[in-house]
Amino acid sequence: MMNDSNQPLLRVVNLKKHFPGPRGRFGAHSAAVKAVDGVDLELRRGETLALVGESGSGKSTLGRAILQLERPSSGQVLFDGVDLVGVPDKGMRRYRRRMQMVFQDPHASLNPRMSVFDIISEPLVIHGLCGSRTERKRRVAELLDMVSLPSSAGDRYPREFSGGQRQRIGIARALAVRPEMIVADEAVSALDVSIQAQIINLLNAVQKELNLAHLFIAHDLSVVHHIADRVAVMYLGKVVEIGTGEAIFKDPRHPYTRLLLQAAPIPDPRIEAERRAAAPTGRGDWRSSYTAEMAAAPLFEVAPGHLVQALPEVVAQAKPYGARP
Amino acid sequence: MTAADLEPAPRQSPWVVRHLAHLLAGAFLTVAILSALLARWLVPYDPLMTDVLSNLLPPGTSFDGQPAYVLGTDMLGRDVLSGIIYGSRISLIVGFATVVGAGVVGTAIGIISGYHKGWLDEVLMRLVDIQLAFPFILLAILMMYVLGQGLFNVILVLIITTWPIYARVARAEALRLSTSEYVTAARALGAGTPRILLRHILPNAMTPLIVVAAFSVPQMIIYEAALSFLGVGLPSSELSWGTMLATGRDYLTQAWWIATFPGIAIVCTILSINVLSEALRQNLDPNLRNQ
Repeated sequence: MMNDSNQPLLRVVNLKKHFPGPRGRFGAHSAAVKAVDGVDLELRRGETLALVGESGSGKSTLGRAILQLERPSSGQVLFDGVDLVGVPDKGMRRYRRRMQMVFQDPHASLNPRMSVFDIISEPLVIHGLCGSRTERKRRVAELLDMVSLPSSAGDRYPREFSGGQRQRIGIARALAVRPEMIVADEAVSALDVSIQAQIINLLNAVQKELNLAHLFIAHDLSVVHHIADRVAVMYLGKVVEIGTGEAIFKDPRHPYTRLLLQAAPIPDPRIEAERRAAAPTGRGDWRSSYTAEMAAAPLFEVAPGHLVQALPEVVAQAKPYGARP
Repeated sequence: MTAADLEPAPRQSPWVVRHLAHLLAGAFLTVAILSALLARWLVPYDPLMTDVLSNLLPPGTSFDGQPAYVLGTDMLGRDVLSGIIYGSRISLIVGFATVVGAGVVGTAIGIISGYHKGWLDEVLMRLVDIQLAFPFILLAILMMYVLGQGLFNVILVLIITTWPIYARVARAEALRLSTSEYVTAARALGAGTPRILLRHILPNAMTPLIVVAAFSVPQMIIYEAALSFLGVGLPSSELSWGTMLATGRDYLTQAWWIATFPGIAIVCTILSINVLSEALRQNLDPNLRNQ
């Protein structure tokens, strides 16, 4: 059962991460910030799931909570059948080998005082892989080659590299321990647009080559379009719509998803024209009409594998599909 | 044609000129350290030998068949130059040993405090607050009185009274760095606390600590002098720049040389250490290197 390929590698069940609000005058906390407020997700081996939403929607917190970098307030993170929420910090090490992260800011995520060789070989040292220095050298050269950096890069320091090159170093570090899952938290949003494509192609290539489960967190839908098998849209700490890339881009049901799509042009004139024609107009400020009651609505399956928050308008529109409640 | 084309390429001044201050500072410290090590063979007179007949001689006085009193003599007829050479031993030992001791203790406590946060941080920082609330000199006198005079005790007391400065700075750095993305990255890799503290936080927290330490060396030399002056530091039979400064102060109007030359020695040491530590800081900081 442990390695059953039909079993998702990662299953997130009703995950919540609440941060205490600012302290008031008498030391009492005001209302908690519900960064992640009851999320359910599944991620299979070899699958790319994109997590999109605006800043503050909780997508980065969700990524960190899955990796236990921020301990969740409640819920379950089942990684290969084991609930990581109950695993103490010390016991996490053996799971960290299997799930790695690529960070947003390539200038901040590499220790400026470590050489590139030390940075990439650090996970090998931590997990006791590649015992001797010659073995580590060979593995680092292999990894540098995989991310298209010259092997001479090992002797240099992060500051000597551009943003895109640094992100390649970060990816090499994440791949060093041969993980099964990678969480890329806005991995390209700090890069120039011309470099973004290179890094996305690199991530996509290694994901295919190593059959990685890939959770790709982004706020830019046009970036997601190329690589995601499935897309989950987050708003105010909840997943409001989830489905295949095609379903989300061609048949968005949730008003927030539509809002996001309107904000991002799609580099395909045909789809772009269709989308513009279908875009609702003159709807006023949708956000202000989004009530707490609507936010609490459960997910509703409008088509196989396409789930949307059960807002009245979504349910009404979904009737022709004969969807089950 | 732009203005940039017309301007000649900036000519860099020769290496020696650019590094003149560093060279002078290095040379002075080398001389000071060598004279401290070789004091016994360098001194023209026994620095503690009193000779009331030749007291308060001005600099440059010489008698037939005797080495000159290059920097004069003090009220007991002791040679000031010999005193400065011998005194450099105590001053340099106190200056460096206390800074290293207090720096190691304070940095370790500060970094653990700032990274661990929570109750441990509260306890350690209240300890620092309590200690910093005491006037330094009062605390030092009290401890010296309990422990007794002597070089080792002076160093010990100065370490105990000055470690909180390093703890504060190290804690602030650790707090800042503990939320940095590369520390999060190290945690995501599975790095344990010792590795994070030693490989990620300590190296990146060093810059301000080195600056604090560099400024502290001269301060420790002066503190030793102050304690000795108050009669709780080193016994007056022990020569240090501090004790010489203290005894010479009373004769400043009649024999300026007794206090002035040890003072110049202290000032030159302070300046040299500051110049070199600034160079060290620039070299340690990868973002300033090659600039």
